[in-house]
Amino acid sequence: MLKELNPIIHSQLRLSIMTLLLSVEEADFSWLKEQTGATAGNISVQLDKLSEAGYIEVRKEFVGRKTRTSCRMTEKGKAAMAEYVADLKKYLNL
Amino acid sequence: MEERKFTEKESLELISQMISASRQRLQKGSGNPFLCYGYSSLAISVATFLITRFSGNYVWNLLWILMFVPAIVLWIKDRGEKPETTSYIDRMLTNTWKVVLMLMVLSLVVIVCSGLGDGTINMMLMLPLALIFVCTGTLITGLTIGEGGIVGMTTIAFVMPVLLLSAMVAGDQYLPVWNLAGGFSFLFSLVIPGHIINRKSSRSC
Repeated sequence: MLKELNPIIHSQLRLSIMTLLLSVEEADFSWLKEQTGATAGNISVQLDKLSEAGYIEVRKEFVGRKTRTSCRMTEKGKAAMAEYVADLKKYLNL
Repeated sequence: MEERKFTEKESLELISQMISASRQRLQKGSGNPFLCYGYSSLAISVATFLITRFSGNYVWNLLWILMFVPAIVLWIKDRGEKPETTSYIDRMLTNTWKVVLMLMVLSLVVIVCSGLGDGTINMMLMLPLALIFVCTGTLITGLTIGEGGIVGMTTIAFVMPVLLLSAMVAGDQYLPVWNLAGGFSFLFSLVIPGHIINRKSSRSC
């Protein structure tokens, strides 16, 4: 019997965010929005879910006069993503 | 991007699509700090050569301290803006150049402090040391971004500080033309690599 894919990651937008964050050390909100093509509101909701699960860290700071929201993946997030990909391979017999 | 149930195959495709979208490209203007330091050092080398050559006063070699001015200018400029993404390579290169700057400051402090003890501050060593530190930073940058042209240019630039150090060890007296030699080395270790990086980054954007 195959294990269920991690429901926190197995969503189109959350998986996109996790994959994008895997390839960079830190990314800001507008870059994630641009790369995924999602709305700001939708991204915010998904970032909150990933952050609550401990998979990412969200940091808000002032850069000059503007606020900047940046995200980075945690060690827990990296481990969860590795497990997700391993499960996915089993599903697809890769 | 809408939330909907998607298959394992689509999931794998999405991962591959996002990895390809986030593939690291050099940001446009990445070579500008090199050009900023490079052209400043060229101007300083020509100025110190001409002034020391015609005035005969070697105190003008202290103009090399102006090399710290671009660092302050770039720091002020970058304070108000942050890149959209920071890759692991970006962090490694930033730290490499922080080490280069730190080594220069430390060398300056050691030379000044030991000089104060002896009663004579001899800044002659600072030029070859600075060149070696800069060449090391540029070599690491060239190897990291996989740009053989930069590695080749910096290898040429590396010859000059070694020749200067050999002349100093052999007891040769300071010559104003050493400043031009420094400028020549900075041309190959900063100016040309800066243009190579900018050309590469404008192609990848």
